Amino acid sequence: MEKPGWVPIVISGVLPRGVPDLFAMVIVLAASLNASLGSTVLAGLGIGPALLVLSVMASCALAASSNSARRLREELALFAYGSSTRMVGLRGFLRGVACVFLALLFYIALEARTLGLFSGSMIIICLAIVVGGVSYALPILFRTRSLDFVENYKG
Amino acid sequence: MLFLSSSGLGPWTSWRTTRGSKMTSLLETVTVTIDYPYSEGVLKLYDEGVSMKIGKGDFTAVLGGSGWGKSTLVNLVLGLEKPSAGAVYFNGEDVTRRSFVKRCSLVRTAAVFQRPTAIPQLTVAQNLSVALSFASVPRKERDERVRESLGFFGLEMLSRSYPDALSAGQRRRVDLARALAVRPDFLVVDEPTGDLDSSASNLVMPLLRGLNHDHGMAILMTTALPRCAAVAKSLLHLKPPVFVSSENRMVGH
Repeated sequence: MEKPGWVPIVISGVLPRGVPDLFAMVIVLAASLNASLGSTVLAGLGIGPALLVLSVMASCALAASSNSARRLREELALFAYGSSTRMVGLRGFLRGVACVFLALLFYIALEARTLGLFSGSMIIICLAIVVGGVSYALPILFRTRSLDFVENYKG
Repeated sequence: MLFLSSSGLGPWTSWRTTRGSKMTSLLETVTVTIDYPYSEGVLKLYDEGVSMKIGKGDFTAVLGGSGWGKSTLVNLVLGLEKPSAGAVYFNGEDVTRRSFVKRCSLVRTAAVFQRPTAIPQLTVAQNLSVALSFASVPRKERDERVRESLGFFGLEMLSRSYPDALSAGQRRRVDLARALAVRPDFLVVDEPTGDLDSSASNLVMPLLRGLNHDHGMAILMTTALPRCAAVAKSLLHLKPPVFVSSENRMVGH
């Protein structure tokens, strides 16, 4: 029998594939753009806040897309117990909101101290928090409404 | 106990029931089929449709081999998958395109799936309590119901355990206890002995019979084992799926 070489196996895994890889690339892209163009102003608007929102969106979507066995079992149980899609979506939204809020806490404190609670930065922060919630909820909703998800009940 | 074997109402499924045909059915399926398209053709489950009625106090077993669509039928009944043709009624209302939650609002339904379903980070008692909160059971009643249900399945000692620490048989009983706690009118159980050894299986089947006999719970159960199906009052016998190739040629079962 021919012995399989390790080179084809390694090569076949080199190219990024799947939604999580895409989101990871978007996060790195946002970070790199922020490093190089963060202070640039286009049409009176800073690029930095837009990159913040972009990285929040991709990070939350990446977190929600990672489908661990434990999370899958939790979601299967929730539906088996009679939870509605709306409830699961709201749960994901709030988790995303919590993640972004905690991650931005230092930034919020800093901006509030220097510019006050009602500055333009706070609008960006609020937008980022909402975008984070939505970005966390959507992959969960797509996953739990798919046929692949339902197949898991079959053992 | 009366056990009626299949006699072939149609080429793919056959149906006999002992009771419940004249009362309003909790569940009725009318020539339900489901097709799975592949590049080479279509896999057809229940080629000529599954038609059945389940009324109060019925206990129906769906008997069939592996890959014949037992779990898919459970998913169709619960609204987790949609049929390619046919209709599903709960309490006389067409719910073919409606969700599990909507179906539960028409007939109080609980499901025990082939794969154990419990939230891993909650204890056994907390899992039951969450299920009761989804079923809108008042907070005051929940503890009592959890105790009662765990007691029925001999799980009192495990109420503070986490699902991951339990054996397959214990997890199956936790699922059944969760279903019982909701006090459903209709219980759907997919392969209750699927991952259990014979001693654990021997514990579960009498429990199901007890739920039906003592609590009057209507039960739809799938199984691949005739000895498990023998516990039920009526039997739906599935036939193997057929694969129809792209040239519209039946390839076989």
